[in-house]
Amino acid sequence: MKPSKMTYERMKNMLVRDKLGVSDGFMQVYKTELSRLTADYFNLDGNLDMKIELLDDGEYKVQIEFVATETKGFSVTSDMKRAGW
Amino acid sequence: MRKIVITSGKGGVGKTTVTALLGRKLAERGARVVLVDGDVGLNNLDVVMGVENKVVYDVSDVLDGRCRLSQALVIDNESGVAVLPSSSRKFDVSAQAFRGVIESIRGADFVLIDCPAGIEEGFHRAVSSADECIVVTTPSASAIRDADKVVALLSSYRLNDVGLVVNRVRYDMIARGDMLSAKEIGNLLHLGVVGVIPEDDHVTVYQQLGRVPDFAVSEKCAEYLADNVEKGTKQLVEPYMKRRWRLR
Ligand SMILES: Nc1ncnc2c1ncn2[C@@H]1O[C@H](COP(=O)(O)OP(=O)(O)OP(=O)(O)O)[C@@H](O)[C@H]1O
Ligand SMILES: [Mg+2]
Repeated sequence: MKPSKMTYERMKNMLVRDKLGVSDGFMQVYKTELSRLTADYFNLDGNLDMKIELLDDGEYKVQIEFVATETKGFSVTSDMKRAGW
Repeated sequence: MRKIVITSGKGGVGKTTVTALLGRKLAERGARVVLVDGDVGLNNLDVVMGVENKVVYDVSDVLDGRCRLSQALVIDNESGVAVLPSSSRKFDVSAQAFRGVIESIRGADFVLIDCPAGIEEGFHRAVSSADECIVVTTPSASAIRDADKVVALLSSYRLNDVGLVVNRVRYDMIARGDMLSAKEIGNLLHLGVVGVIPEDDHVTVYQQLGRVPDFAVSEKCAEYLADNVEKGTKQLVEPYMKRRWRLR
């Protein structure tokens, strides 16, 4: 394939992806909700960190990172069964 | 009076060059042309038009009432094009005030507004003062990508028409399939091509002397651009199709 044809295809995908862009507001709401949910399971030390990246095939790669001082360590019914209840 | 803004998103792709080129070509065809430097603080249009030594007042003086608009306009004797220079110092000017100055221009057929790079206030000021737009890009990926963002932004302005100029085209590379053609770039950006300006060493050499000579290949290709703009058409003429203009 000619370089110009390859560039054309690459540019076409790039421009489409630029338009699918995730807005700041969307990410902020997701982060707030996720922090709330995570706080039910862990004691967060600081804020939850989030990175979103677009892969070449157009899929999103989302990475979530946080530091916790402790887990909320509660038992659920399935744990109880295993313990012989 | 047609008010056309020349914009790009990415800096350094040739907005000022295209503004000057188009302005001169339209004037050669008998139109009365005013070029407005919309780049407040980074003014350059006067230099590219070779009239910087004649500048006495600039747009900030008009806005502050220190002179009349007609006193600030500088005429390029050779082409008859009038230039409204911008200030070399940064000053606050609202989009409304800027539009007011442009609307007070009398007797012109074309007002071409040279937009600053970026998509901030300067862009807003320039685009909201116009009713037509020319987006300039080069065949590079980053310039096309920025142009695409600009095109998306333009949809929120009341513009009658948006056309594309592809600048710094190398026809030898297009012919070999090593560079996107203007037509392909137009397809990517969903814009009709109004002009194709080749990479031209004469621009590099003579622009700093204030006058690009008529025999320069970019000047010839600008004829097609002027033709399209004058008639409101988007006839695509890729310069490399014209054998006699092929660069050696
Ligand atoms: N077709 C061309 N061939 C060769 N050189 C060119 C061509 N077009 C522009 N240039 C050169 O590229 C440089 C940038 O051009 P120009 O100042 O017109 O860009 P611009 O988009 O107005 O930049 P800015 O964003 O800084 O205002 C200049 O040095 C100019 O001489
Ligand atoms: Mg410029």
